This record gives sequence, C-alpha cells and structure tokens, in this order.
Amino acid sequence: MLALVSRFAEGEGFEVISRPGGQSLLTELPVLRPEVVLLDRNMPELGGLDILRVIRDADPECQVILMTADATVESAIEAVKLGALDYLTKPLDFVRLGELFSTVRFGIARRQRLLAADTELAGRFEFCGMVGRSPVMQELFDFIRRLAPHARTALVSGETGTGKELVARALHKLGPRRDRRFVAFNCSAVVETLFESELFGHTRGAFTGAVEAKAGLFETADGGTLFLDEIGELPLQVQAKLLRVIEYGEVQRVGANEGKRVDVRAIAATNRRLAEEVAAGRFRQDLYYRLNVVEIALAPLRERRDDIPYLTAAFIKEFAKRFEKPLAGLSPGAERLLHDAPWPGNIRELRNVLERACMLSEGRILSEREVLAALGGGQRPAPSVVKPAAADVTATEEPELDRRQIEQALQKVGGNRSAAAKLLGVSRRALYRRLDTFGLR
Amino acid sequence: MTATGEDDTPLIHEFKNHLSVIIGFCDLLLRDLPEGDPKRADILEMRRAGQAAIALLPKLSERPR
Repeated sequence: MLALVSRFAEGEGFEVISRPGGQSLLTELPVLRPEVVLLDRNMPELGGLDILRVIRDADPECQVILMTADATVESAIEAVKLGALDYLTKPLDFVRLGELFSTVRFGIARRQRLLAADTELAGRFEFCGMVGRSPVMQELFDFIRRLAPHARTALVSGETGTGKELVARALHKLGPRRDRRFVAFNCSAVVETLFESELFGHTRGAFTGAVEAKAGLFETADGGTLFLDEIGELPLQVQAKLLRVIEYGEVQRVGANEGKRVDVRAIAATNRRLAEEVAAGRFRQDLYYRLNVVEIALAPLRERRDDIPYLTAAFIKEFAKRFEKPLAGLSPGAERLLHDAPWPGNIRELRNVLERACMLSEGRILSEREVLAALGGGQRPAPSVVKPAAADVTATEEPELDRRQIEQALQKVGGNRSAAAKLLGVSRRALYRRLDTFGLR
Repeated sequence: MTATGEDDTPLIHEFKNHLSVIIGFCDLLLRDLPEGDPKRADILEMRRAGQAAIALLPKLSERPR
C-alpha cells in the first residue's frame, strides 16, 4: 500500500516520505513538516485517528487524508470532525486522490502568491519607510506630502511604536532641507540637569565639568531638522527656553552672554496626551500651542488592522533576506494570529514578533506555531486575565507552571501539546487550561 | 485494532487491503499506458477480478463456520 500511494503521489509531483507506522511519523513530524499526510486508519501500534488528532494539534496547516478498507459513516464523520481533508475507502479512487492533491497544492501556491502580492502591494503603499494601505494611512501620507515643504514646527503624536520618528524623517526628506542634517534627540534618555547643555550647548567653564565649549543640538542641526522625541518628558524650565529658541530662532549656550541665530525646523513627538499634560500643569501651554500648529496624530495599529498583512509581508521579506531564509509566506492560522493580536506596542512590536518568528522558522511558510512562539516569547505583558479563582479548583493539585516553562516545553517538543504535557508532568487538560490562562491558545 | 468488531473482520480487512493494492497498481498502469495499448485489456481483466474478489468479501463474513 505504501509503495502504491508513494508511486501515485510522486507522479503528482510530490516529494514522498513513507513511514511504516504512526510512532515513527510522529517523532519525525516536526522535522519532516509535511504539507499533506496520507494515513491508513487501521495500523498496528497507533490508529490513524489518533495520529490525525496529534497532527492537527501540532501543525494545523498540515492536511491529512485518511484511508481505510472498511469505512463506516460514523468513522468518516469523526475523521472529518477531527479535521481530516477527506476519508477515502480502498481500493483508492485515484481520480479523487488526485483532486485532493490539487487542493493541497492550490493551498500552498495560494499562500505563496498572497505574500508575493502583499509584498508587491506593500511596496506600492510604502511611503518613506512606512507601509499603509488603509485610508487613514493614505490620508496621512498625503498630509505629510503637503506639509513637508512648509511646516517649520510640527507635533507628531501617537502611541509607542506607531512610527513617529519615521513621520519626522519623512517631513525632513520631503522638505526643502532634505540635504541638511536630521538630528534626533530622545528627551526621555537624558538626565534632567543635562537637558539645557545638550539642546543649547555650553561655554567653556560654564559649570563644573564643562572643560570644553560644546555646541548644542540646535546648533548641530542648524539649517536642518531637529527631532525631539518624547517632548512630554522635558522639564518645565527647559520648555520655556525651548519655546524661545523656536519662536525667535536664537540659542544661548549655557554660560554665554550672547545668543546665536539658528535656523532649525523642530519636530516634536509624544506618546502622551499633551493637552492633558497642559491641563495638569506639566506642560507649558504656550509651547504646546507653538508646537501643535501642525499636529500629526498616528493611529494605533489595532485601529488599522487592514494594514497588518502588508506590514507583515514587508517585514517577512526584510527578515528572510537578512537571515538568509527561504521564507515565502505565512499560514492562514499565523495570519489570523497576527491580525487579531492586541499590539499594545504597535508596529514596532509587530516587527519584533516577526523578527523572532523568522529567526525560529525552518520552512518556507511561517507557521502558526512559530508566530505563536514569537508572540509569547516577547516582553509583551501577560494578558491581564486575573487567575480565575473558582474555575480552577484542581489547580492547587497541579504543579505551578509559569508561562515561560510552558513555552519552553512547547518549543522543545515542536509544539505538540500532548508531548509537552507529558514533559511537564501534567495532564493534557491541565496544559490546555494553562494555555488558556496565559492566552497562548 | 480499531476494526469494527467481529472476530473475523481483521482477516477480511487484510484481504481487502491486499486486493486494494492489486487494483491500485492496475490503476497506475492503466494511467501510464496510452489508449489502444494491447496490454490494457489484460490489466483491465486483472482489475475486474480484483473488484469481483472485493465484492465477495461481505459474503465471506456472513458464512457460518
């Protein structure tokens, strides 16, 4: 029977690996990573239905076709319920089997085409390093294009990881100063006492340790663009000086008597709601009004999920190239996971997750399991699901498993949950409960 | 075994498996041979006999022993 099916499948253009029993297949499954498995239902050691169950559990992308000599309606229904592609009776109908193979091939080709198309589209929807097809993003690009030649100051607001610096760079690149400097400064990365000297410079001997005179960032960026990230972190008295520089175009080094004229386009960014900061007295109102003459608000990723496939395609292409991997797409399950994730860290988080997933990946298609591992492995805060108190009476009898242990176990056994449960010494049900608690399912 | 129950089914099951292999290879040969090839008739005979044997299997299980 093996020889027969192998001959047929090879004739259909598949690379065929045959195993005489279920046990050897299951141990090799993570390595073989088949696109489709043909299983006899009646086998010594492990039955076909059990193997089907394990395969569907471990690798939902893998299609399974069952064969049997004596099919009953019940067993056929059970097989299909468990996710078998079809249930064939012997003698095999090769026409039907050929059709099933076409279905499988079509599925593979479709996934690859999709990514190729998305990558191509991502290229078309790319704008200065940003990718977005959704109307909000197209409007944003248009807005930037129109603003870039004119705006002298701008405020970019948006959650962390939404691409505020990219917007600033786009404004610079499309503006008249594109050949001059773009200087980026993160206001949250500097100790309070050094702000002034960093931004405006100091004269020699202005304070202890100021052995040399130093130009501030405004002078460095003279003629170009200064990007002030996390502007909300700036102390109030520095805000006052900053306002003066922006308004009058004059910087005074710390310790200097005279000011110096600079011509700098200042683009500020913040992930705080500055209006609220103003109301709370933590941000100067006059500076706020000066900055928000032009405000560019960036939508969080969860509000433009339509862009996720294009972003994903662009990132996979980038990382496939960097890691020299033959990645050409991702499975529907993986796509769904990415689409539905909450993305508190926005595009930066998506990018990091895909970087990890691409690193882990061994196939041509990024699998659900790899994406899941990458999603879980991050510094993403655990879902705020408080441990269900009542529902988990048995939990006290089970060893406490933390998220990391479970992830490691899953990784070790290639995502096979039954094997992971065995490894952890808990029942399958217990493992599933844990997976639910940690939002890993 | 996950067979359907009675004691003699495993044997009948095995039989059907072997017959299925015979028929399957006949099918593969038929796919390879061009229409009008004189060998086709012989293979079709083999295949027909295999099918007939499979059709007899249920009767085999009904026979009282």
